[in-house]
Amino acid sequence: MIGRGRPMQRRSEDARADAARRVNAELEHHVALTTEELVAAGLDRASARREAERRFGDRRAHAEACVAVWEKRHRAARRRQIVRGIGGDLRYATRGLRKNPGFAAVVVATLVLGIGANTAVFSLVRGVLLRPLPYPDPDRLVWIYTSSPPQEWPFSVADFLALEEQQTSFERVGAFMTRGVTFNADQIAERVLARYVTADFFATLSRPLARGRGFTRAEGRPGAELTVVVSHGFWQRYLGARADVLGQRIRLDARDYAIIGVLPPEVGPLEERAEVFPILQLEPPPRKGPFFLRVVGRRTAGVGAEIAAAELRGINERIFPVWQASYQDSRATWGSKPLRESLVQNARDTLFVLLGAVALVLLVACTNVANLMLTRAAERQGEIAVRRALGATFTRLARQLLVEALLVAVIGGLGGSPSPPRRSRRCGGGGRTTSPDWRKCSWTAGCWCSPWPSPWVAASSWARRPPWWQGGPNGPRRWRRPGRASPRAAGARGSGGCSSSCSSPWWCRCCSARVCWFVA
Amino acid sequence: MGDVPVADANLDLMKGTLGLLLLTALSSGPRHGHQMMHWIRGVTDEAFRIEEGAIYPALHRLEAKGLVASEWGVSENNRQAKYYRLTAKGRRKLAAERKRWERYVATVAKVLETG
Repeated sequence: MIGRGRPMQRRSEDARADAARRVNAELEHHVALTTEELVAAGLDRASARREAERRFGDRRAHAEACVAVWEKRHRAARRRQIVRGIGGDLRYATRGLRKNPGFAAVVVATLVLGIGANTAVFSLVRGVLLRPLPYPDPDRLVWIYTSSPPQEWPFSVADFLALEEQQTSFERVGAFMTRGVTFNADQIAERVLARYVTADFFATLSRPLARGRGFTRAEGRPGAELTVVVSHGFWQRYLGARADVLGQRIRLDARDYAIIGVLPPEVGPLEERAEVFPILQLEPPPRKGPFFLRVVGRRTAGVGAEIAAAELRGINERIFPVWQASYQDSRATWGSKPLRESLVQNARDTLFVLLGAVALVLLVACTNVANLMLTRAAERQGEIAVRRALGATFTRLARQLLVEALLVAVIGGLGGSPSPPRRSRRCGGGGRTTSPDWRKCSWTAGCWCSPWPSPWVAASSWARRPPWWQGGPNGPRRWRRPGRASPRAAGARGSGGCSSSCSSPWWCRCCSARVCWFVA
Repeated sequence: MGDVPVADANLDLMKGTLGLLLLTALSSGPRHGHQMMHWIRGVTDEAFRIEEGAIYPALHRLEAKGLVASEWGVSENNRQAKYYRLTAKGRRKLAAERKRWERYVATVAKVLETG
């Protein structure tokens, strides 16, 4: 049977032995000539041979050096041959795709959809779930809230003032509330989103401002001058992006605020969307409620989450009797959790479900591509038969198919994943700049590699003669050549057939076809 | 200085020179290894101490670089022998190496003259 050659290892060993034989013949020729010369000069044959060997030197070492040179050359030649072969395969695959534009378009479009959906959703997952928060030491930032499982709600003014006064586990704690305010300028009056923040808010987040400064604690006391930090967008839209904006006054909800700082254009999730950040001056309240303050704290370095949580519970227990007249919920306590976790907790499950869904889409896409390739393989039986008859080995055919699959995978992959920064910016939100990282790269690479197994289905079917769909009892009749069923097919039929009970499933191509179909 | 030997009877070949000698040996036509050895001996009056077998790895390296080509033929005493010949690339290399060597020798000679 034409086809499978000897294993690569064996062939290479044979070639080496052959080269060693040639080297030995050459060296032997030299020694023999020298011996003859010495004999002609009058020495007897034995001593002439000894003398010739002596003059020649270490024969084995010289022979090995020669074979080593041959090996190096042989390896380089093989590498060149493989590279040339792959280049040829690529050209061949390109021609094949051009010849079948319909097939190429369907395969590429399927892959573009599958890979594109995966890349997009993974960018989203990465932007939302995997990227660290854009604050220094984000692991120490925690969300602090009142907790009465399963419910959680914000702090009241009384709570926050007590927390600020009594806590020791946090470097700083800040609170904020968000609501719309009316911004008045010369001729205009507009609703803008304001995030009222306590004096320590920006210090807790520890991100530097683009201009000016954050609030001082003195400004947070009732009666002090009202101050405001504005967002970059607000500064550009309403204040003309002027450099001398610090110290100017703006009117929010009919009160004058002095501008003391401007945020940078890129902000973290806690500063997003709000246009102005007026100072929140908290007066000691007569009663405990209402609960509207969202609290964020930065744990002191070296203080564990448990210690901080225990302290929060302790403070809550201490102040509970003070406010018992207006607040009786003794079960509720104070809790804390990492800021990032609380920011993404709603999105997490949805995103993972989405990711799973698009992974399934890719799987379906790959299955479709595999089916298309299988169909095409059936169409190319004649071509493959000729190539096998001319001596193409299984690995050679498989390599060609892999290169073809690689080509469509790369085209599909390129189509499915446009430039990463743009996409991530759109999906990650907040205009954060991103750079490709290993997680994204590996995910994309995984997507690209996913269609690769499909040609193996076709290749493995070519390795058998005739392929399973030709010889199997349930295979399409038109593939079967009359009177030329393979011995294996005959064996399968002989062993009792397959349609109802199969005695040897590993040998039965009908069964393997069913398994393939099931997997697909 | 009298007790320091001025020169040994046989010279050790400087590294990299053997290739040049072999290329020169082939410049007048195809030869097999034994003939080349004879040629070198004759031209140098056996001044160099060369282990005869050492020319073969050197020849194979030249062949791997494409400077010489080889084929099997029948030698003068009716034996199978591997004949080497210069390729065009080898000829160019030989010319370049010869120039380089001449410059080298001239420069070293100039330095030695000053001393």
